[in-house]
Amino acid sequence: MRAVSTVSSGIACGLIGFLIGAGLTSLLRLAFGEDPWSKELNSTVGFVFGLIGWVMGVGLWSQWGREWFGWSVKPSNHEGWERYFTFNVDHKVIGIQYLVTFVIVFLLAGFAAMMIRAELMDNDARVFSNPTYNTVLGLHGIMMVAVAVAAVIGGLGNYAVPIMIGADDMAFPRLNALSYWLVPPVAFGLLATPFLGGIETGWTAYPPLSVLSDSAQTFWNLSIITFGLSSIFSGLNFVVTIIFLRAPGMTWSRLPVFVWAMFATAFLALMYTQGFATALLMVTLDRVAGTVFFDASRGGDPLLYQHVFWFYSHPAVYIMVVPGFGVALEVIGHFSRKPMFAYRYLVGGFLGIMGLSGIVWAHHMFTSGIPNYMHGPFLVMTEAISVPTGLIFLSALGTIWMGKLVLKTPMLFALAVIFNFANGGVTGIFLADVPTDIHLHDTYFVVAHFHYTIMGGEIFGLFAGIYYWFPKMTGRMYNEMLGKLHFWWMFIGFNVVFFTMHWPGIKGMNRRIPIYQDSLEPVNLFISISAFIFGASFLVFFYNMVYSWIWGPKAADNPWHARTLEWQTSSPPPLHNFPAPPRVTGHPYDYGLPTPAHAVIGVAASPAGGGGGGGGG
Amino acid sequence: MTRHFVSLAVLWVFVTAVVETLLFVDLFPTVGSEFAQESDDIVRYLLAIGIPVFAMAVSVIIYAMFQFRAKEDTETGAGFRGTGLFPKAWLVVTGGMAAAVMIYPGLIDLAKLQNTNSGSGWGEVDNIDLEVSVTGFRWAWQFEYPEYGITLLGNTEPLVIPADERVRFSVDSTDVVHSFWVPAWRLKIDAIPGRTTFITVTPDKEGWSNWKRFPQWSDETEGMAGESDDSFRVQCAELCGSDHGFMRFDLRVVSREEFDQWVADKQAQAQAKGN
Repeated sequence: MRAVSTVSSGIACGLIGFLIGAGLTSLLRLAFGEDPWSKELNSTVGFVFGLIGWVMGVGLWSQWGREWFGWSVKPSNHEGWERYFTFNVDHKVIGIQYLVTFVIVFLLAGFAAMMIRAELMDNDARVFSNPTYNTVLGLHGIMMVAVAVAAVIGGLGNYAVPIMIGADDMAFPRLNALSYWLVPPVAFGLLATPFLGGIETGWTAYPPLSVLSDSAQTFWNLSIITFGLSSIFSGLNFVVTIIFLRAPGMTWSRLPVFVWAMFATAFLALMYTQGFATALLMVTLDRVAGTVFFDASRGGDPLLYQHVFWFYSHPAVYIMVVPGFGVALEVIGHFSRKPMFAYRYLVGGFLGIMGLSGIVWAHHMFTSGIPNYMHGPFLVMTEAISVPTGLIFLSALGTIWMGKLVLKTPMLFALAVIFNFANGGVTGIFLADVPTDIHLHDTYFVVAHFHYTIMGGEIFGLFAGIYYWFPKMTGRMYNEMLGKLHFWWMFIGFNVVFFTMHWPGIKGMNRRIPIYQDSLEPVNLFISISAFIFGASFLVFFYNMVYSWIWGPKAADNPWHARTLEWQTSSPPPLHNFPAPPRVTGHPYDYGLPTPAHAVIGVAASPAGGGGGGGGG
Repeated sequence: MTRHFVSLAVLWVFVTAVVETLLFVDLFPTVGSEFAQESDDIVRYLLAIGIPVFAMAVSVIIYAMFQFRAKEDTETGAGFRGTGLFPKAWLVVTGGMAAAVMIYPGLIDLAKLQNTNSGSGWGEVDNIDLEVSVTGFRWAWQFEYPEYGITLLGNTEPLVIPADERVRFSVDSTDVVHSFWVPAWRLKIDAIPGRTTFITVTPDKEGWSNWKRFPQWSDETEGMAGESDDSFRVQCAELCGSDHGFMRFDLRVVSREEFDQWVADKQAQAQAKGN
């Protein structure tokens, strides 16, 4: 019953915390002769205390906090299904917690997308009121951003990275558990906004609207700042883990590409997330504490927000898409049965994107009235990103060329990442180019573009990774036929919907609107119907995952005959991942070369024995 | 190996040719200004050079899926690692392509846009034929013609602009961020509280829309040239709250004579009210 006690004590302590925070504020306000209840202020302080109460309640106190006072701590529970509902420090448990949470959030946000398409299907018939429509599109946006930021790194990264580098856990296991347990309040906070007044600013929360708005904006801000905290913790954890916990012999040039991608991503998350948190903190202070950061009439500047916000939120698109590339290239490497093409250039591509991503943010602001001299440099640097991205394409295309492709579900998804991003990359040039961006900015062309890059690039990568590591995580095999059905359904549906969407964009249909010009009604009807069909593809996925996890056939330890370390241990791996410490002796992708196996587990095993299928020969 | 490269080249040319047909699709809204024509030409140019790049990646994937399929899961492909000259050549070619796009259309057209002040931004512009102050608020625009002492609200009547004259819009907002966008001109600029931004445009096509369908205009529009064209509209392009989607107003681009007539009528109306 540890699951029930964890969650219920979290909720109870969270509520107590909220009451303490809100109550203290009321007392203070009363002492100063103010009206004791101010919605914004009391709920803000209440949220902060409630959040502390929640994380303490779910296990931070019993498994960590007691130690600060020299008392004994309770160990994690490592048995049975209940461990997934407790404050568990095992990275494999946390990975699955993240993955399941964010797949659910993804499906909810996808449902919001269906609601948006229902509204746009018919120009005359209105489905939602204006404020509700804005809330729906804002929630779709922010929940999908959360999924894109955390599903691959938190889910697949947490699960696979420590095993792939031969470590027995992350560097800071309890911090890792804390990162995850900060997520449920975020999900709760976001899903509660429709009942607390909605949000009207979309996910970008531009002031002055976000300051003036009489809505659940403050609650929304606090949720996102909390999410940022979780992101920073997990970024720090990955950077330290990858630098310090690699197994003997795991040199940087033998690191699997997925780990490299996670390294670049974690670094970006650690460096830039505070930008978003700062921007929203300033909005919150303007709303709650009477500061005037964004009030032009009192010396503030609304454009300041956009700079600070995009200073995070542009690197964030690489926090989203680099992991997608990482999974895709990892899968392509193993399923092409051939050495990774131009491995060092690929790593250079990840690091180049990481380096450039921080100096291109103002390309989101070409129409915002920034000074003219800023247009040129940001145009040049934005288009320069195509060079490191090109290196990723070089490696992907070079690896499949002359390979022996095993076209199973993970590989199909991985190839789709390359296909979709080729499209999204080309449309990016139109938006980096200032004269065309002035027209295309804030239209459905942009919507189509970022769905191609983020959904086509990362979410397809997420599914590649879920299918790829499913047998490792669950010890069972998914249904290959249903997997392929899901792939083709999703791939065709996705491309029909979002390729078509460029057209109304150029024609002049702008984003975030419930009505549009009448001449675009047929194309919107077509997109909506295609979107509903596309959306239904995830039911196949959901069924396949649930059914296979419970009733699927037992999976082999290495069903893909892959060389990397996670496939050299049992499925699922034991508590500390390996029966004996692994030693890395070769490159992970040397399929068909007479070089040593990537790794051997235990000192006693013969070097050629442990390398897995295809290796060593 | 040579056979594969030749087949790939054929496939690439084929895929490119198929996708390039997009250039013949009716892509754009009505061209209502010189800049709109330039903008569309850049879009067409980028499409023409971008499609072969996209087709390259797609062709390799399609070709590999059919030609390089494994019969058994455990067999292995060719053993090369790609450490030779090819990646270096790739880097040079992609770097060159990126540089080419940065220079043209990128910087060259940007310089043109900024130097001729036909675009949007902060620039003070000389030789203005007409000045219009635009003020955004939730959820309408107010248009002011300081020269003629005319002020009008977007939700009661259309914005009227003479064709073939250089018009500067100075854009401001009283509450939240809005964005002033006329699709027929391909120009938009945000309306930011506390600062004034500009668009300068020379509309070269007459046109009008009547989305609002104000009753008093139905008779007027009957006599107007051409058909209602929704590219001639002032649309807010930055999410500004609940009625953002409805912050869309009619625009009429008319000849100088019609404009003068309209100005005279407006001034007479104002006089009549004043008296």
